[in-house]
Amino acid sequence: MGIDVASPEPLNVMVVDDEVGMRELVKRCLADLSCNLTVAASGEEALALASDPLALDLLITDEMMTGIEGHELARRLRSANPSLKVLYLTGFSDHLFDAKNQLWDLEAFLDKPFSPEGLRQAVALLVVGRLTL
Amino acid sequence: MSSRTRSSPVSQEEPEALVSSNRQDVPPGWRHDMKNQLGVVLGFADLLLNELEPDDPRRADIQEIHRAAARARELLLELDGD
Repeated sequence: MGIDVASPEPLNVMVVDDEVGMRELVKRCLADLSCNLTVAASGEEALALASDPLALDLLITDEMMTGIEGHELARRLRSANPSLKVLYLTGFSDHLFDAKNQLWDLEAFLDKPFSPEGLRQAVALLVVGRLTL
Repeated sequence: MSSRTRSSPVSQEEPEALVSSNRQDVPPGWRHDMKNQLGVVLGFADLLLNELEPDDPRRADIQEIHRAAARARELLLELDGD
């Protein structure tokens, strides 16, 4: 998968999941994209690492985590950066929609398990509105 | 990918005994953790299958890993009644 010619600057992407295998999988899936990845194992760690939320382009987060859950993490980061795009990874979308009735603008969710291609397409759709970057 | 819509789980009848004997014994979070682990296995197997040459002798082994993980996920979904 190539670099987005319309946005030559690398995407600043934060990946948050409390499962190490899932974090590694997301990193591998995005390895061919032009991204600066920041990886966190919890919502709390993500907030600590996001010293400049305005610099982030995309948050990819698990929803069900101990402590700060994905939707709350997204709410806090988007309060500082309303243009931040958010992709929720969830095995139980009902849990996400129990927390929020509908997704906000620039948000989407992807069911686990996902295919590598499915994740790349979801990222591309959110970032540039088409299936490939 | 889904966006802005709430999907309805597909209902599936299952024997009452299976529901009572299995769901009550499952610790909170177990299904979530199991789905995560199977998702990791399936995802990495997908990555490898995409990267291997079509005639790579390891392809059949990885396909077996993928098949077994996919079947395990189906069994989990049956347990869920999803």
